[in-house]
Amino acid sequence: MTLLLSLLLIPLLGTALVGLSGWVDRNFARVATLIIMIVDLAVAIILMARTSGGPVQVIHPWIPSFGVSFNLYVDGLSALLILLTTFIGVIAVIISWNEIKEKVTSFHIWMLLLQTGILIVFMARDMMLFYFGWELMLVPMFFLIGVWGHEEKLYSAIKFFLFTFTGSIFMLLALLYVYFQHAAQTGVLTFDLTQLLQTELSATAQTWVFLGLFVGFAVKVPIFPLHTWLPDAHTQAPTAGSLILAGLLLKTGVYGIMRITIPMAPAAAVYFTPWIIGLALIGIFYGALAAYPQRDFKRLVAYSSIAHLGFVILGVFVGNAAGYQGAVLQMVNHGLATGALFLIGGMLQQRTHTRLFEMFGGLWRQMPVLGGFLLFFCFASLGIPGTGNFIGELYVMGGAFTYHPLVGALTVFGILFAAAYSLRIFLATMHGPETTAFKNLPDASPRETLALGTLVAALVAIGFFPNLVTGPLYYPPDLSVPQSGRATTPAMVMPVETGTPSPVLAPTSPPLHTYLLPMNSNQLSDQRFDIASLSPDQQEVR
Amino acid sequence: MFYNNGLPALWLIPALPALGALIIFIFASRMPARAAGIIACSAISLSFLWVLNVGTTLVLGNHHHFVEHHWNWIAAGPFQGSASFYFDLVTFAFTFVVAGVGLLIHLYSYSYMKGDAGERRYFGYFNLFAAAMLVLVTAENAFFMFLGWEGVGACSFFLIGHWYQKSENTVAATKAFLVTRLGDIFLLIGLFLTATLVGVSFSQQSAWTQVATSSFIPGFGGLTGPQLILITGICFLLGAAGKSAQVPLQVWLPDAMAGPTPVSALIHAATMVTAGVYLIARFHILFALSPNLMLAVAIVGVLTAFYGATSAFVQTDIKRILAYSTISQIGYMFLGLGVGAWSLAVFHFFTHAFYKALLFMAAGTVIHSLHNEQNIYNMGGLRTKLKGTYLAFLAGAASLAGIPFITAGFYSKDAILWNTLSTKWGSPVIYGIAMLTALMTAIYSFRLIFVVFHGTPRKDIHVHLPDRLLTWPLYILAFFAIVAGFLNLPIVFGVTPIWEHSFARVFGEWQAEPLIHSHAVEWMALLGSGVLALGGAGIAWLLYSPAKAPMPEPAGDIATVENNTPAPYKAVWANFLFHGWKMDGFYNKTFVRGFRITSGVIAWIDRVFVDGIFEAIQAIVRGFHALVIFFQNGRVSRYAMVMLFGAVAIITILLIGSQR
Repeated sequence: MTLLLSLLLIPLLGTALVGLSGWVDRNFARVATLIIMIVDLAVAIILMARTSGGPVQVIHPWIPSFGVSFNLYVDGLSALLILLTTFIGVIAVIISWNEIKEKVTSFHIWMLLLQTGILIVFMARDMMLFYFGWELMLVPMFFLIGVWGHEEKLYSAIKFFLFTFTGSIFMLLALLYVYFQHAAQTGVLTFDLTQLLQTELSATAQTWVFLGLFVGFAVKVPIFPLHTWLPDAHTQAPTAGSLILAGLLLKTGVYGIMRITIPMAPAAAVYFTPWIIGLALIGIFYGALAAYPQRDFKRLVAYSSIAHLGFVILGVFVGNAAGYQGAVLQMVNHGLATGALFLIGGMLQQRTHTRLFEMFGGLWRQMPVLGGFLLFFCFASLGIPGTGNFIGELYVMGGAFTYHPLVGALTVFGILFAAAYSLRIFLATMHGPETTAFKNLPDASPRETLALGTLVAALVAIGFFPNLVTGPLYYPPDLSVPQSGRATTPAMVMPVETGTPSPVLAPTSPPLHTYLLPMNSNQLSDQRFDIASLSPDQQEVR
Repeated sequence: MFYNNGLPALWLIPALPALGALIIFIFASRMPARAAGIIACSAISLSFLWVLNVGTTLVLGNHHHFVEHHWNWIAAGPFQGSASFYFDLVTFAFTFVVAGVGLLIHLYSYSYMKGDAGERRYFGYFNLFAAAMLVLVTAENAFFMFLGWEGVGACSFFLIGHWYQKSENTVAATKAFLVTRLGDIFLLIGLFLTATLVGVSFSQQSAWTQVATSSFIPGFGGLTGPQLILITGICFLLGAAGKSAQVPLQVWLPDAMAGPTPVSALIHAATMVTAGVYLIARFHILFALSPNLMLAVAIVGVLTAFYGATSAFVQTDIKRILAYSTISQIGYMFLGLGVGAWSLAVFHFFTHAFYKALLFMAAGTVIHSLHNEQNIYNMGGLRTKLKGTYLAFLAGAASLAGIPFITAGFYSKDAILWNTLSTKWGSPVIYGIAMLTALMTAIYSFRLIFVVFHGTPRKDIHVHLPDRLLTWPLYILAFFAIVAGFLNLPIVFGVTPIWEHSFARVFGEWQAEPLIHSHAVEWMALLGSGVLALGGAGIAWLLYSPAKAPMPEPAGDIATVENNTPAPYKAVWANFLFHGWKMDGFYNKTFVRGFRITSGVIAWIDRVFVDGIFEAIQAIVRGFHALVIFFQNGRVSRYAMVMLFGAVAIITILLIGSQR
């Protein structure tokens, strides 16, 4: 319990510390933030180890009259994303060390608040708390882009804010509808997701709830055609902002779809699956094709995010183990590899004061180490085996293939276009005749080498041992092939019956929700361990 | 760790060069440039020694194969691929070449790349390539093989673009990577089919026989087993064609010569480009189950062989001649696979690796000695100045041409030709084309010898004499280019063909049985191909010998091969062949331009329309905003006016209403 709370409180209360130290000396603010982030990362690592014994939960009453509680719940998927969040948080601080020169203290305070918001989203089991975290992410990011961004920072920040905020209204409406339906059916006012999932929803209601939630999250992912805020926001954000946007904020959308949208309206999810798979495929090709001709380094990478997230959404909706694991892997890998590309884009901009490819060329001679890193991350981005991205894409493609061989075959072509734009990033900056515009550009500093080297190590580790990521997930119950890792525990073989697949919508459709529920439903987690075997920390909850 | 149950560990084979690469990359900035070469050479020599150790254990112990399991790498539903190694005779043949010829080329590179600005990077990638290639050929299943498969593709990209400041190298590297990746897409689809139907482990492949007999397989929309086999096989064939530069995906290989010459020797002649042959040999059961598939492989093979030979015939750049000849020779290997002569395809790979690596490295020595001159019409008369290189090159060219009885190329190529004629999957038409190609091969091989080494020097170039590391690897390879053929002497000699006999253990019942058993016919075929080779050499002497026929004008001003057609080749047919049957131009006009235009259009649509929708929404909101601020601008006069108009409007409405 203290673990979950401290994970949130460290960055939240840390803001005060940073404010104080920044008042003394602005470099203290950096150091303080770095320390706070590292401590938070350490807590996340401990939490990761702790969840291997089963989900961890904390419930405190908050606004009892409305059924709002301070309800945190962390299982394998959450723990993984929390680890990613805190890890990227550390990198973001390291990388802003030299870049942020103005309003240093407030920059770091916003960063910590942002981290708090993201962590709440990944931990909240109470939907009001979730919504709170969701909106909490918005404000710091708005200021990070709007204040420390580049040329068109204000336009991009407002665009980002309006898109996500509009989306979240749909989400809130859908959540409130389910909340009142649940209250009407049971007489219990609660925002607890576990209980809300028990709500009986008619086919029509499911459709609207699904659409409301889906639109709210799809804006964040983003899914075509709701993506247009993304290239602007990514391009204009400061390096740390781009890193967190790509690495974490986009993942909150996917997380919402996995954890809330599909379990809340499973029959509607099955009904809409072909359409969403269509949108995901469009995203894969549209993003890749639109990325290729971009002139701006960060803008190209931003468009590539649309393609990568297309893979993730595809993996979520194909409705099988391979796709699901691939989606999670791809979320993590995209955070690391695309995040790294944004880092390098930022480093280049800091050195050359431009992001335009036509200004670059032949920079490898001046920056052999940075060029080597860029080469690695471009190849990771195009999914070279040996990096985690390959495993993620392979799983998603395999899942799509199981869903329908033709969908799978079509998806595979996405990697060709990925190769085209990824190679262009590297070739346009590092290859070709050396530009005369820049002389004696400094190569990667030890600080930068450390940040990028860590990311390389993480990607290669996942590339060879994908079980590092897929292991913490609970495997779906209907697998005939024995899985490695924890998958073989008997608990996962329990079939799960929750939600109410509408007979009107989906009389014979495959139970798309079943493979997602094991992570969402307390029913399963009840079966996964008995109360006696719980650690004191967990018993306290019950 | 190094031995499991008394058997040598397989993981060391790729791990050693991988370690070498890792050391070089991590300490690159802190080590002298020469140290990188030393590390790389040591790593690959250790790996080669270990290959010999494993291989001799396999052969002497009469094992069928070794398997070594490490960890579950890919594990998702039906897609299971462990990080495991597999070593049988086919693996031995490939690892022997990759590590052995690789070692010689590493040594050669040590001298060749001396003083190059990117020396450390070069050796790092060279080692990494060797590691990836060794993973490719030692993997126990196709997913793990794919790790090596893509790895070699990436290293090929890095090394073709080694001199990265020249734009044409970058273009060539990108082209090579994208074209092979197009093939890889099909390979991946094939892998998914395989994983779903039988599993990707190489020891599971006999399950294809069950697929072949099933009339319904769930989940594939009513496709029957044989249809699925055909689809899978076509996917693998396309994947193999991309990697092995076979028609229609061959266009990248000639341009790949932009890389340093040892790279061409190792990657684009001896090892990586033969990965397709390895792939099909590994999946031979799948292919053997479908006669249509076999025919497709044979046709791709013979067509490519013919394509390569005709194009090589008119090239002027020494490396491009060799590149086209590599395409052509791999075509022969595919032909061998297509007629079910699996072991002979591997045998041709084996001999080809020696003589083609030799030819490339000898060409490299010539280029090096002439200060980067690559046009053969600017060479000539080098026979006396580079005597050792000349002799080595002669051995390689003779082997390539298939000079009878004394060269390895003769035995390996003739065996494939004979199987084309004599087995159930072969056909006389294909045999005819293959024989014609053999004649042309001999002509272009000896054209090289006569133009480059005979006659008098056409340009007064100071010859810079090669050092020992540039020549000794050539002599070793020359030795193998001659004697490797004796591993598989034809049965009509009255001896056992050792190679075929040993590999029967691997390919067993799937080896094509000859339909023609007559020794007389086989002797005739054997002599026929021998006569063709000698005849080709004779024709080359008539056409290109400095004494008997006038040389074509030395085309002194050929700056780049792509843009200029040399003087003797203004004829339409020659021009057509010179540009590789104009396939580059075709692909550029269709696919490359198509992609560029589409992506440009999509980016434009995204900016103007998709974003435009939201901009329009914003504009509408602003419109409302303008409307509202008209009424509410904070000035008393405006409010008074609005109140006045409002009052008038309300009164009017009320009046109209009361009159009803």
